[in-house]
Amino acid sequence: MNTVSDRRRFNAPEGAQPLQFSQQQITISPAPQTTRNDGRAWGHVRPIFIKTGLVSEASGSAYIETGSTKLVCAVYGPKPTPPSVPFSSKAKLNVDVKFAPFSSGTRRFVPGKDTESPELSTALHQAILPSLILHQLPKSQIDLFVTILESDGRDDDISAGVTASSVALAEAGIQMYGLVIGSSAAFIPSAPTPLLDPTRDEARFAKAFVYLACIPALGTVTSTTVQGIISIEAYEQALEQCSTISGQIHSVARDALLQGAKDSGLA
Amino acid sequence: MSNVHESIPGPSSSSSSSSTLTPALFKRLHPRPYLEKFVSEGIRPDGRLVTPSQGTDEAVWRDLSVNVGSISTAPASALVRLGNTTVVCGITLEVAPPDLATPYQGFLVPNIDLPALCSPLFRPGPPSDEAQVLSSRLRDILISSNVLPLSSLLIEPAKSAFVVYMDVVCLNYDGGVLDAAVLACVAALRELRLPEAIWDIDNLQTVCTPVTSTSPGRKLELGPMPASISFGVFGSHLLPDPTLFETQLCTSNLTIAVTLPSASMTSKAASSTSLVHLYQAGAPLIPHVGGLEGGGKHQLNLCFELVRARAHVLRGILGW
Repeated sequence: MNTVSDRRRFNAPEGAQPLQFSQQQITISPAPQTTRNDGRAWGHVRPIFIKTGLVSEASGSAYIETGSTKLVCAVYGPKPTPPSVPFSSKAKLNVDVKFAPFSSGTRRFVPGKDTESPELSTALHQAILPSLILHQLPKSQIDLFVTILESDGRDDDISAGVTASSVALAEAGIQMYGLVIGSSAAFIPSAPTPLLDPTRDEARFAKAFVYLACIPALGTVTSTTVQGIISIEAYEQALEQCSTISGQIHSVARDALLQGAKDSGLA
Repeated sequence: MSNVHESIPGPSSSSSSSSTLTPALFKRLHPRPYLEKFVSEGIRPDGRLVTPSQGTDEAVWRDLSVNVGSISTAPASALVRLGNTTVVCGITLEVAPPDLATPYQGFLVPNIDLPALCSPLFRPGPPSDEAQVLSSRLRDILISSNVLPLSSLLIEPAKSAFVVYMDVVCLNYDGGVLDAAVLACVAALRELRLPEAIWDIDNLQTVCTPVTSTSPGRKLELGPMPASISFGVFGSHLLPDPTLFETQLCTSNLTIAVTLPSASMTSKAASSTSLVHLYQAGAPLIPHVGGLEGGGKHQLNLCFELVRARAHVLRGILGW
């Protein structure tokens, strides 16, 4: 219950609480054992839809939709840093990730602290930064804004966010070594192999997560995270699968960029 | 929007040396003369007509598309695209005890968010002045029109009622954001189903049944449909539904919101519009160049005519 009132917005009335449902009516899907709950194969990633050019005033923008994750990403810049900022020979990348209040599916994110996510911003920053050629842009900054409209768990948010951000940066004409693609895998005790592109329900049963951001064009990794306890062999297997999938997602992203260029008359 | 890829000569006041400007550069350097060149021919930069002097013309308004139900995490949602302006309205539900002064009413909490993503005009951080003002005006329009009678949100008098949060997120800021926000809120309200809720007197809490195909929930009994339409006044010309570029150059900006009852009512009742909100900012409406009597009033009357016709069209698009 939020007791702090924000004078700049219309606030929740006093005593407001999320809806409560009677216990027998809530259905929790069981842990996947022989097959996944939505019928996918273990290593199957849901179809991804990417479209560029949604935000007309931005240098570059991308909208991504995968499963029930929807987010928009816009890039402004490169623009000069204010004079108060000390000189830097490389451009600065500022990442800001924000949730829409209706995106969580469980409760409303109260606009303000709830909707901002510094950890997602940092994860995106770490994944994207190595791919950019920033030393050609001294005394500049690039602003990257992400708004998550619908969220299906943290793994999807990061993976889709990384892919969309990279596409938006490419559309903005920022020089880069290659497109960065994000993917994730969850390890569930009852499943024989890691589950790629886990949904929120599946992630609930997971003992470990592996997350990978890589540049398929170069075959290099920009960021990888492991949460939980797994063996080295299992981790290597997950990395292998994730990088194969990233190659496939890369062609989707590339096609979206080409289509965007055609629509705006550049190609 | 089509870009004309040919050079036009620079303004006549410059020297006669070979300075040719592309339209995009001319627009950037001299925005007012750029717009004047179009408006004096009776058209606008995106190809629409400046308002004709009689009747209504669909070529005056930007393309509009409304998409409901795209956000599956929200009980109801609507995505509205008005030209380039894009807004998403998502509705969330909570329960709260009614206010002591109004024990039979629920709550409606609208908010408009203008994130830094939608335009270079906004920085990340707390809501800007623009966002606060828009939220306040949206709330005024929704409450004054009584589109959602608060008494229909009651679960148990003085104990529990629904709180309907309407969070509007702007994804692309290109003028007419309030118009698009009102449309999105109205479209989302139409789609909303309230879950069945019972006040549990033993545990002093409200228990709900999730909305599924077997228990579809309660559709809202909605009041008259509000519709908001914006205008800009550029010199002596009236520009309906201006883009951001036009709004910033207009000497005066005007927003009119009206309500229309449901189309299913008797034809006389269904066509009566009521004024709910009128906002004018900027220079006073100047008389018509042709010396027309009461020029400012003439422009307002023209606005009302256009608004009435447009409200009917909007009602048709939403299927109200």
